[in-house]
Amino acid sequence: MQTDQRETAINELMSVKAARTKDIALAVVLIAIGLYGGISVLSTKATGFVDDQTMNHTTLPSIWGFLLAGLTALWLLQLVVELKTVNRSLDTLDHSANVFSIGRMFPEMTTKLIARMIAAAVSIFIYAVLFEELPFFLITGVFLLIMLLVFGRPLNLRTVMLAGGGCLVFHLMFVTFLQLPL
Amino acid sequence: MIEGLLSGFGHLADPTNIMLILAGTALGIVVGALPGLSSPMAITVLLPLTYPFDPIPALVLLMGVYVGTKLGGSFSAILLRTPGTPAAACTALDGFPMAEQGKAAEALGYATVGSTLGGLISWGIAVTSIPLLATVAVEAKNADIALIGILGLVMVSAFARGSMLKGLIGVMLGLLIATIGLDPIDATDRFTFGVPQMMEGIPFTAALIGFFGIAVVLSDMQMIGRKSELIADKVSLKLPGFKELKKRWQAIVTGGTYGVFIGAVPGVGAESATWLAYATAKNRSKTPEKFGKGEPDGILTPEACNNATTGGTMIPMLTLGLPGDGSTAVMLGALVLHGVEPGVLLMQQSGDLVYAILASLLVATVFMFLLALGAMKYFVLVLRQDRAFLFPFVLVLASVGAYAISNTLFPVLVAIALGIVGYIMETRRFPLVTVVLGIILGPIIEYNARVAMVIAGNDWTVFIGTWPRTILVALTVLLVLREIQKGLSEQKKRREEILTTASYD
Repeated sequence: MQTDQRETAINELMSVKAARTKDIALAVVLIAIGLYGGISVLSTKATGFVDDQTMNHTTLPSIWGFLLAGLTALWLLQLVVELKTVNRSLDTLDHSANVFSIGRMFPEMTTKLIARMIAAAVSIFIYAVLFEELPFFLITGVFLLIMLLVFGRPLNLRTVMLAGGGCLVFHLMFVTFLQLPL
Repeated sequence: MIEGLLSGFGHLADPTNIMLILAGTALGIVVGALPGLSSPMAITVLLPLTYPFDPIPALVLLMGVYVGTKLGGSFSAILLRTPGTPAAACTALDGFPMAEQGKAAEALGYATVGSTLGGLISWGIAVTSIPLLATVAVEAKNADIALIGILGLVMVSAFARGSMLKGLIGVMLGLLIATIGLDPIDATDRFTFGVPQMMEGIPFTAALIGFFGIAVVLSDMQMIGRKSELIADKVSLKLPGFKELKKRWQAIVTGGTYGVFIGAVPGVGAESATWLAYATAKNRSKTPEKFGKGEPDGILTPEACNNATTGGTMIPMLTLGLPGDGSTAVMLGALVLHGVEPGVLLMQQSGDLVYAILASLLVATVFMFLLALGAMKYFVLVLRQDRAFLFPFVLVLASVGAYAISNTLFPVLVAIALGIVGYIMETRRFPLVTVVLGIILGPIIEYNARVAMVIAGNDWTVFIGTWPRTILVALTVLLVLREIQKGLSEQKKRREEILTTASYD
């Protein structure tokens, strides 16, 4: 019983540690964006016809940038304090498991899910590039079919009909009705 | 006001507009019923389809979707115990137990009547208060508008999901994104990196499609393959009788008033309002022990509240240009897209449109009731489907919708990039609505703040120069201080929780 409780406590703490580690990575990126935005806008040259203004084209963007960096730094501080508490607690439990294993860091991410997400993002990009080059009807039909398969539908007549029907509706909507140059 | 309202209804007499509201409401109920699909997402992917429309037909279609999703969310809450929308979570507390007792038809009836009456109460309040507030708001000067925008962003950060710090970080990121392109006063280019398409700034619709369309699809991929087991095989709708409703009028009025007034606070939305209304109804009840076990008041109150927020959120949106929730944020974007500038001058410059929107709120509420009455079994059919099969269609709508902004690839790339950013932020529990609001309000705040400074001869005290401005600044500061204090005590609580977990024995 005692061992079970210890394992549960360790698992809970490890999941908090994994979450905070991911938060810290995001915080670092946001601080970098904020600092870059705040600093780089200050060196932007104004157009020739700008009057002498106290609040000019750099004022608010630099404020937003530095506030983004500052607020995120506060969040980062909170995260670091929390992470230290978690680490101390894990030490008291005499635990030394590696938190940076993929399974610990992304417990919700199965290989299948990651593959689906990458396939979805890449497919949208390829679809967007190709629908300028190929006939809209054809490329949308193929895209829908591929995406239906990616999203877990079996390859059968119903899926093909669904993709075909879908691209017909989209063709009517975008090409016939909205008259987009597709 | 009566004249304006009659003209609003006059616009809706056009058969096209009526059909658009009907179609929007039906679509809204379906979208609301499906967990994972949300009202902002539906409105966002529909937005590009409204490009060729005039503002009135475009907005009334979106209003239909907005109203419909409110009721749709309760269907899955009652029949699956999985709310279709976050605001319907409260309805599951009594709706599902009632359905378990073999009274699914009655539970759906209470939800439908509660939603409809809540919608009607909120319409009455919105329609009387908006013209009055608009006459006050129209007196606002540039400095007031900038301060109202800042207060709105702080309020949204404070009340949105998660901590205020995360909300403010989201807002700042949105504001920074909004500064990309030529600045609004002297056309200096900022953050364009030599890309000519970025001179006009980040396409607003592409940002919406990214944050509310692509990001949501990526987040919901975990739902793939999940089929839903309904609590009842055959589901119909049984409306409560008049006597029954008379007995329960307090529950409806409590839900309705909470919905309108809490919904009117920018950023709060229906999510928090329904829980507060439910808690109040339970505390006031003579039989609080029945709540959570299939009590009709436990369905009527949150549902009345949920739909009443539709009128509540319209108040800041139509008078100040501040959205009450994610859906109204997208609707503000729709206004911009159709060449209408949201803000304090909206009523003065586009009174016709404001009244048409208000009229469509009533018509959509009535359609929602009639559609639920006549087509419940078809809506319930949707719940049995694996919703993941809809995602490819959402992606086509999102991609082509983004392309249609300028008939170039650039907005599609922006939508994909912001979709990935939105997904990452969503997984770290950042309220995406705050980023979107930053993007919407950023240019309005910057333009008005700079004009105010120019008019005041570069004098910063212009922002505290009048009583209303001092109050706005004080409110903003107080809200931030209150949230800092709350954040610190939550941080302490979290640390204690961690230590408690460690000392399990």
